[in-house]
Amino acid sequence: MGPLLNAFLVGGTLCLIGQLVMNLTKADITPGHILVGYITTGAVLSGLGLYQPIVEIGGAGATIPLSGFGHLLTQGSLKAVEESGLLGAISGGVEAAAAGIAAAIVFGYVAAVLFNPKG
Amino acid sequence: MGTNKKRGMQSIAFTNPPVITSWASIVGPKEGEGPWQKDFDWVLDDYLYGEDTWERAETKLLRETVKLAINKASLETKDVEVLLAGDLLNQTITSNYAARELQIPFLGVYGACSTMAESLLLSAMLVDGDFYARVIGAACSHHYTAERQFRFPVEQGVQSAPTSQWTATAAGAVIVEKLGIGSYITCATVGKVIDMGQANMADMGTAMAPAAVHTIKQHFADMDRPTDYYDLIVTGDLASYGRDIAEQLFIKEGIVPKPNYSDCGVLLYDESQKVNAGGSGCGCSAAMLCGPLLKMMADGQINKLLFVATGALMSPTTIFQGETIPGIAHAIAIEN
Amino acid sequence: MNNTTEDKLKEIAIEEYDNLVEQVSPKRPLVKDCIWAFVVGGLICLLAQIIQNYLVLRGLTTVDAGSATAVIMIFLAALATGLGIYDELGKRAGAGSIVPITGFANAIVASAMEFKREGYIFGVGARIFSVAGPTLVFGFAVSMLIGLIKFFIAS
Repeated sequence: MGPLLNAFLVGGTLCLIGQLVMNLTKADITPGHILVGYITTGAVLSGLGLYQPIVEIGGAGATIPLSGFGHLLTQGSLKAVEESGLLGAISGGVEAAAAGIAAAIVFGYVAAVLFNPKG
Repeated sequence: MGTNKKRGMQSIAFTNPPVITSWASIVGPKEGEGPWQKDFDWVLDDYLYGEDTWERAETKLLRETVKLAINKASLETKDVEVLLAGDLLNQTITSNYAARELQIPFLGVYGACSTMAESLLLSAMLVDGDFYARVIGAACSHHYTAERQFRFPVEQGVQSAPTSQWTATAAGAVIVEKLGIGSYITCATVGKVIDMGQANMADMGTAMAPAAVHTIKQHFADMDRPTDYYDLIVTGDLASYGRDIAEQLFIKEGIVPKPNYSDCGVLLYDESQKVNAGGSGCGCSAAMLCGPLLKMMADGQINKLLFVATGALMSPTTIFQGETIPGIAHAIAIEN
Repeated sequence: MNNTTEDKLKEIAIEEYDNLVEQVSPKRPLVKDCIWAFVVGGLICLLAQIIQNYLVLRGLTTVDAGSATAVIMIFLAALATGLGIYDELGKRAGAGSIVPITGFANAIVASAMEFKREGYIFGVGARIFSVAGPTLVFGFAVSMLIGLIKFFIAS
């Protein structure tokens, strides 16, 4: 029960932060801004070693929010630097996130072809 | 430099007042569920109108509305000398392609949501100026083509702001003639672009309200009419919050219109229809005019109407570049 | 009246108008929005955790299970978007539906579906990246930068 509850709480909290930003800032925050903000923040926090603790507590609650994707990218990059040096720094992030990116693009295309917007 | 017809700084009086001899409005499903459903000529069952893209549906919507206005006057398309029409889409494609099918000499106009007033104003000028004897002024908008161009894809999960407005799926067309039976277009005021520094795309009412008040104030001054001259003054699509702000500005400027001031964006939908602040789009004011309002004039319920359609003149490009939203409003007086 | 006085007056008028707008404009219901965001976001992550736990039970390593879970969540979001369900959720849940990776998938699919009428290559194909593009660019750029920093510090 522990990990499930933690996933719910951590995930909920990360989303809550986003909602507060959306409601309390004067500028018109679009979903695009949130996505870019979260992936970047996750990547930076990961680089500072601050995101891994959140993952240990929250599991999917930390990896599923887009900040978790940023964490994945940074960790991939750091690991690849250890193994392959400079080339690793360049390719490591993309390699680690490959499954997610490919899935998003291909499933995205298929869904778009199969379905029509309804509104 | 004076002319016979210019009044004051921005207005004109029509010395041979053109007559509105026919009108028509076709609206989409949501508008057809609103409080004025009986006053529109047709209500569509769905947003595609039998076409395969929303853009084609909107073109059909405008085209059929123009044809309907012509039919209602027992005329044929070839009897109309000029078509003045506009819409919200880039390059006003809706109007261009509708005109292609209609084969009426065509002048496209763009005033964002103020287009109906612009079409009507220019139609009246062509007829009063004795250039043409029978002209059609029209405007159109479609909810899904507007969302596509200005906002977000339909299936994207976005939380809408309470100040946001629902672009109406609607078209209105009016036949303006030299001679005939109907209400008269007596004078008009061409608006200036007014920008009070608002940059929130989700709140266009507040961007446009200053322009509406500016034009209305100028109209009263130019035409030397008291603030209680008209039975009803309607703005195009300021919607609830824009209207509230306009009311405050009227008080501040000392020109509170009496007895009635309202806004087509507020009127078009029912509170239960979940449209946040209200309706918007060229079709909002066009359909309200070419349905409920002209009907009320024909019935004698109102005899003096000031129709002030409002437009927000930005584009997604300028917004991304950090520009603010300029507004405009044109006023047209229709009297029995 | 010279230019600077006119400009000053305009500035004041704009400020006054801004104040009026502030007074009249409604604010989104903060508490309701936060509750929705928290609950929906939490539930999406909970679902992912259940899937991930199941995959580990079936023998996948933690890393592979994580990747596979992300892929499954993306698939579910793409399907929900295609069926027209995800936008209904998004209207109410706000950040709760945008922040999880499902929101990323929804943005991609919604955009691609919308522009299908412009063709399968430049309509669907190009539009997949209208929101995904900036997200991935920034993600790649920051992670690459961090990797480069580590490389140059270590060497």
